[in-house]
Amino acid sequence: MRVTLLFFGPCRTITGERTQEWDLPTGSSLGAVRAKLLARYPRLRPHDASLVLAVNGRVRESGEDLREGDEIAVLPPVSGG
Amino acid sequence: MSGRITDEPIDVGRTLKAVAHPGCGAVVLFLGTVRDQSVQGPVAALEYEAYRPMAETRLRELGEEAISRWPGIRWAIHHRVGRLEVEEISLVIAVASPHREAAFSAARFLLERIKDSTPIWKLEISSAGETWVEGNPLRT
Repeated sequence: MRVTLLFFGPCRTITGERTQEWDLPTGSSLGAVRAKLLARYPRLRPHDASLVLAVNGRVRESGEDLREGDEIAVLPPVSGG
Repeated sequence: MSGRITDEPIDVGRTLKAVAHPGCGAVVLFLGTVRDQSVQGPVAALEYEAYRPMAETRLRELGEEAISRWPGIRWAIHHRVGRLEVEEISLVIAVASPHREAAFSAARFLLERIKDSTPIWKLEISSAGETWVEGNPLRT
């Protein structure tokens, strides 16, 4: 299944891209996406504990099952204001 | 009530108009502006980016929470994104209320929660380069 990843702030700088399309095995969980991200981008590893993942605009836990077409946002610590 | 992310310069008069009401005797207006200094040193400009749909949803949720805590208030929050020069307005919060206590409290509440609950990021630009501001883990 295809999902879209969105990268913001320092995560965008680390990946060098705002969006990526990923092909995942059907039924993959959000936790699998996190593990894959950390494997692909070692520079994200120190930020693991503070990275929040949102699916279609809602923060979700690692156990969340993903579906075709989901939009997964990788959200590092925020600094608005 | 209005929570918006915008890439246009902020029109404070418009934000004030959004909360104006004959039953309100107090309006608190907060402006966040770009400072020429940070802990890192001199700052030439800031660049803000947002996960816009989620940020606007969060702003609405914060506004609703403020109303449940301080019934009768009216609120508006506009946050700018893109490149901002020193002294430009990055954020405006307006809260109107029948009386001043609720207006001050709700404005303060909204400001603090925007800083840890809204997916917005700030890049400091200086002659030395560009640095993302170390922020707060997104409150969930």
